Amino acid sequence: MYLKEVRINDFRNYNNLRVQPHRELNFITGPNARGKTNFLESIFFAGLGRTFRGHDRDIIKWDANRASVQAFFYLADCTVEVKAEIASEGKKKILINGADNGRQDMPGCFGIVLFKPDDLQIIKGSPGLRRDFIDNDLGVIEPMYRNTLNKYRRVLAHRNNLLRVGGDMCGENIEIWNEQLYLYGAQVLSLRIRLLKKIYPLVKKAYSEISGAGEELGMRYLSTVKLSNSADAEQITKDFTAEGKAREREELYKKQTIIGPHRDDLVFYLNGKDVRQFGSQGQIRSVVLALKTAQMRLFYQDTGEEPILLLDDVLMELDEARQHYLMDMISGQIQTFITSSTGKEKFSGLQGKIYLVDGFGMKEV
Amino acid sequence: MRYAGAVSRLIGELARLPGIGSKTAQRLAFFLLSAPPEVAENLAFAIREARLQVRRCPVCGNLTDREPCAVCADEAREKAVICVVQDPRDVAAIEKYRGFKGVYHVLHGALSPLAGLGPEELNIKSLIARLENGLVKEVILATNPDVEGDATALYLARLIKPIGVTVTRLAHGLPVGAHLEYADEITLGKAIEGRREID
Repeated sequence: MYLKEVRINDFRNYNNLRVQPHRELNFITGPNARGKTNFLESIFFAGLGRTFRGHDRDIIKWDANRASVQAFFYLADCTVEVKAEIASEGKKKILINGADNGRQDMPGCFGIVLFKPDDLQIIKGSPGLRRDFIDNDLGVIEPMYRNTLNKYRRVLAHRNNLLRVGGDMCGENIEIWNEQLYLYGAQVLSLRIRLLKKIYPLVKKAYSEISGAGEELGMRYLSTVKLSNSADAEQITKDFTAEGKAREREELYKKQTIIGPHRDDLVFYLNGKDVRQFGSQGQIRSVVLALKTAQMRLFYQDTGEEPILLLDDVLMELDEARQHYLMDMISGQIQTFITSSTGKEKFSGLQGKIYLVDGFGMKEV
Repeated sequence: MRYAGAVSRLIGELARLPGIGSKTAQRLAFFLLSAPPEVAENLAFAIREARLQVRRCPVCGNLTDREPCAVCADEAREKAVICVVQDPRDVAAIEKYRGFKGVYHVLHGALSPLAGLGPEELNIKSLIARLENGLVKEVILATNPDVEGDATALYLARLIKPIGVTVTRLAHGLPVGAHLEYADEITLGKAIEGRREID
């Protein structure tokens, strides 16, 4: 898929902007804090119905009541019009070809892959970042994932509240929430395992392409729930229930839910060694690049469509060899939007458009 | 912009209503102030009367202006089947269908620790009291099919089953008349889960 045209209204610093990007490469440059990332954010918002930084409401221009992005994607041999709007009270409306799809979340059919500087923290940062990668970046390809995760989070919030307020007096009321916690938690776990099983061969392959032969990348999902070697949701529900029962006293004492997918982690290994502890900066960058590459290929494998790639200020963070790897992979296939304040000369010979952002609008140069 | 005290108070009161933002509240306020005086007086009277006369039915908890409410007082209704709902609006929705001949019980909410709603805050005690005479054969749990509604249903099922009354839950799935291709994955998943053999 690719973006044919985007019309932006009252979005961040843009009042009114209309852009028809190049089918292949779009390089967006300009001084800092003039709106390069804001433009990428508008494409992300149209494709996935949410922002990747802060609250969705924050995207509304400071003097406006609503922000809207109208995007025309070329997808499955036809043009699909998406209109995504958010009003200042936080209400979102997403119309696909003029029809309200009735849900806040978009179906996973719009493949937008974002690579931003923070992503380099995925490996070394807190486990929450790795869970976010699974939930947000991989989750879009499983239609039920977001909904199940939201239900799990809601049950978890109720249950934690009960534990916090009720202390050890709430044993009986906790019971009522346990069943749903184990049920939705097991579904989340089962979907995560399925997603990771799908993406693992792709990550491994991409890593060996990036680093050359010799190093083998391993990946392990570390669950706080002891799982008996099965990705089947019913079996996991049994495992989770058994473990949950066994640790309930501890939870009553600690006043929070201590096991479940909200506490899990994902660990990467190179030749059997934990990358978090032993990985060099270069290896860490390669793993993240491999993850993003795999994310793109997974989308293609699942839908038969190439995703759109947004590279927010990240290309120049990579060294020459990794830049080349990335540029080779996308060339001619994947529509790419790159923001950077420097490096314009690199793209002057390539198929594509160069835009200059000056704080008021965006001009092709 | 600031308005005179009485106007600004009216706008403030209107803006507390659900679904009314500050702009709509202003529009309503200025409509009431510019329309003939009896429009505002009739509205004020209607609100006052409704508030004074309407209370909860002592039997089922639904909102009513007489005791017991029309459904509970109706001799033709089957008192052996109680349909438990979260909200008086749910009673209205089921009544529209006309096919249900039993009686209701309105909980006025669902269990929600985040909102500070526990079993004590809901109209549950009087439901259990209604079951004690042994005449009720079935309780239909028609709470919403979301996390809170499901938890409430589970809580009630555990409370009621030991009394020896049959407990059922509304089915989830495709709306009648809907086209499969327009159903979302979640609804379809539920519908496939709850499929039935054709007899």
